Amino acid sequence: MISKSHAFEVLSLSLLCASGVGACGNYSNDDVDFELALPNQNDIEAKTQLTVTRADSAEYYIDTQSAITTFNNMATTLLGFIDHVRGYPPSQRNGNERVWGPFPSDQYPAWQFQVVMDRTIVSTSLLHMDYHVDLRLAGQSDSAWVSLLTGSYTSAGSARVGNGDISFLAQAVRAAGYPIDDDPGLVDLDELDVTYQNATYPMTVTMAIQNLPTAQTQSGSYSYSEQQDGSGSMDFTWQGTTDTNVQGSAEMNARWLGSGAGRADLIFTPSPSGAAITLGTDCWGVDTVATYSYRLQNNTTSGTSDSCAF
Amino acid sequence: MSKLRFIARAGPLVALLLFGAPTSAAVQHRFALIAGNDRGGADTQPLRYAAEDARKVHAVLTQLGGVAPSDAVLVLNQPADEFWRALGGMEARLAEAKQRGERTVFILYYSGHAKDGDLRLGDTRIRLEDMTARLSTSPADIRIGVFDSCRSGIVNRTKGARRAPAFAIEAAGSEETRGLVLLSAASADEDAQESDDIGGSYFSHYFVSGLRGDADQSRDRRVTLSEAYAYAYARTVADTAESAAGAQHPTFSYDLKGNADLVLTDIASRREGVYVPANAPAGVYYLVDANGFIAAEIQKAVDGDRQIALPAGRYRVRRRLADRLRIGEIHIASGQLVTLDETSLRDTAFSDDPVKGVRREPGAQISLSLGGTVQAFFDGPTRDGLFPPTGMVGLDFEVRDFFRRGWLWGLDLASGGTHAQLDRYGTLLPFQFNELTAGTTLAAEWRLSQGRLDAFTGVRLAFVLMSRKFDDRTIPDQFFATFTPGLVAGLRYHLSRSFTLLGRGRVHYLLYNVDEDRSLGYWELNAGIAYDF
Repeated sequence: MISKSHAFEVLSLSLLCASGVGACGNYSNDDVDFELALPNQNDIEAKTQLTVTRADSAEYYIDTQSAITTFNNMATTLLGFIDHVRGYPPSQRNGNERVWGPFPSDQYPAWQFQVVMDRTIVSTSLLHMDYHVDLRLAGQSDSAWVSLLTGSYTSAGSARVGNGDISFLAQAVRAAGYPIDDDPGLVDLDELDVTYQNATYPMTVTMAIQNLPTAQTQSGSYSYSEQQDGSGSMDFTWQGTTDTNVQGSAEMNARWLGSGAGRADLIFTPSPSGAAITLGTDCWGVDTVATYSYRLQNNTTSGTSDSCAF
Repeated sequence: MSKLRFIARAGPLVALLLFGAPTSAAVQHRFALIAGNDRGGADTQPLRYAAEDARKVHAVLTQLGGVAPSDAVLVLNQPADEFWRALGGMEARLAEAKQRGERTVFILYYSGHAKDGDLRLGDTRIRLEDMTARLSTSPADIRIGVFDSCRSGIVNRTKGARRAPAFAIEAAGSEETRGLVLLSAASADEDAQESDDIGGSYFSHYFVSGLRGDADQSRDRRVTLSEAYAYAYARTVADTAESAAGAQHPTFSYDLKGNADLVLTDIASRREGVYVPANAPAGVYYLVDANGFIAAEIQKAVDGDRQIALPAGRYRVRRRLADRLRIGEIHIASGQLVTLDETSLRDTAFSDDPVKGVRREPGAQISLSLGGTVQAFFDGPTRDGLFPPTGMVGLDFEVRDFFRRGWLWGLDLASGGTHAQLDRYGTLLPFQFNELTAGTTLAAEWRLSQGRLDAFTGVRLAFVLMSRKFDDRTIPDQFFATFTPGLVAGLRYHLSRSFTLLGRGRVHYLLYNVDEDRSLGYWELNAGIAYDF
């Protein structure tokens, strides 16, 4: 229900603007298209059955949980930049383009940001959107806008589902002077690229992280997939230098059933060339407790691999 | 030499015998200044028909009286300075015509309040003696003043006027008629009365009815000033004799010299009206217009025919007998003289008198109604995906006969909503649609079907506020507000004196300008019940 105060506010506003310009409002089907094209938390987060944690849960189960949490936190951060659009009418409507802003930044009032979305109607059932979130110092010209985030979305059978991608361009705004490094989590970040598709199973979300050359970890990636029955997988990979000063990539491949039982393997591949080495494996049951465990470092095995779901 | 003669309490026939050859209207250049004012200032009650009477006189003079529309000035509900300005302009034109050698006739008609020797034009006044003095010195060859107002007989007091049923103008050789004639609707000590049944003052109604042909005693298809006065006098006195205010006696005076009476209207010049043949039964025939008012009366004599000029339109015919009414309907097409066939009338009871019906009380009528409305846009995609058809309930406040008799002004407020869904590229988005409208209507209405049914049509301006709230709360609430002009038409059926059933349809234009400029239209059907205060 609309509150009385909100209803009065809308009535007063509409009377005022209709008296002044004849007609006004934000009643728009096209605006709905733009709203639908924006990814929401549900589109780009990892939804897993791995929600239970016990003191004796398998180690790699806990590592997988931790990776998923990091993954979802990055998704939340990204969405925070476009949530200024969600729920608000656009400031400008220019045919197939909508502009929100410029707005002053809450955290840095000297900076302004805007969100621009462009729609391409491919067919009566297919919609494509491109959007970007831009920053500039207040008072600068339109040519000073620098994109912090770019994205696109193509519907597939419905405006609500399809394929999308988002790029978070940390280094670009850093170069423009935006104080992005005030967030400790972004100090090493150059660019974050996300792709997602939620039209058909398996639904997938990938994240590719490119850090600055000075960072210990140069790059990383997450690849998440989800089946209709709740089973899924999360592969996360990091390229960098180990504590023992060895270059290479570390890869955790985790997969699970709809029941929650699953398996994770930790694999290290030295670079520039070298054979992949399985550093360890954990299998766990629906209670998250390890049913099988192997560690290369200590050459220890517990349980039986026959108990593994995969 | 000027001569004044009156024939007190003598019949029109006597007057006719004394008339010379009437002067043809065609050889004169005629001018008319017609003024009506419903209001007479702080110490008077507003009149209901003064302006309307002026309109009727204007119509009959321009249709039948040889006054070109460009030579007739109608001054309605204006103060004295506007009247003097119009009179000054008219006098200038009369002087120009005289310079061109034309014979001129100037007719001045006033309907409104008069009191203590003053004509009351709203809060302003004009001394009657100033008016008559100005008229006396007008450059026109013949000046005719007609004053339909209370105690207007005072204009004739100084002229030795008489309240008499007729007068005759004595022929005086071959000299062209020149001079002044003054007619008043009432004596110097009488009120001029109005009637809701005839929708005007008695005197002006019969004066106009007579000019349309019923005063044509000589049957020459022309109505002279004498005939018109004699007719208006007789009918006014007869109709007011039993009124609470008492009988009203028109008066006249004239100061003329010349050889002829003055033809005011030429019925034969306009073959558009009603012809009652000689073989039709004698008696009074009433022609009732669309508003339920008597547009004209026909006093049909035995073995005499009658012709009345009336504008094109539909009229109900009423003939009253001792035990019943005879009623029927005629349609006068443009330029057509319709012969009334009395046998086509049907018998009916007095209760079905088309003039009576459900009478309106004098003054403005107020009603309040409660009703329901269904609204839908004409455009299918708009209806399906933008503004869904919706139902509303609301209140209507209406005032009738306030600005003008037969006019309706209303305010309405309605609110409603529906649940609908939006399909965007295959995604179905349910939403709650709400609408609030507030409108104002100005319409003209007519009485139909013995007065139990009113029809009305007019214009409406509405403020519309439409909003929707999606079930998916990630999509913001939306609203659209605008003013929409439209047309309205409907019927009102009087269930009783206090309750009325209402039905109306509206068609509106709406400019939608959020995504793009689009001209849209929607219709509304409304039904309700009204309480008439």
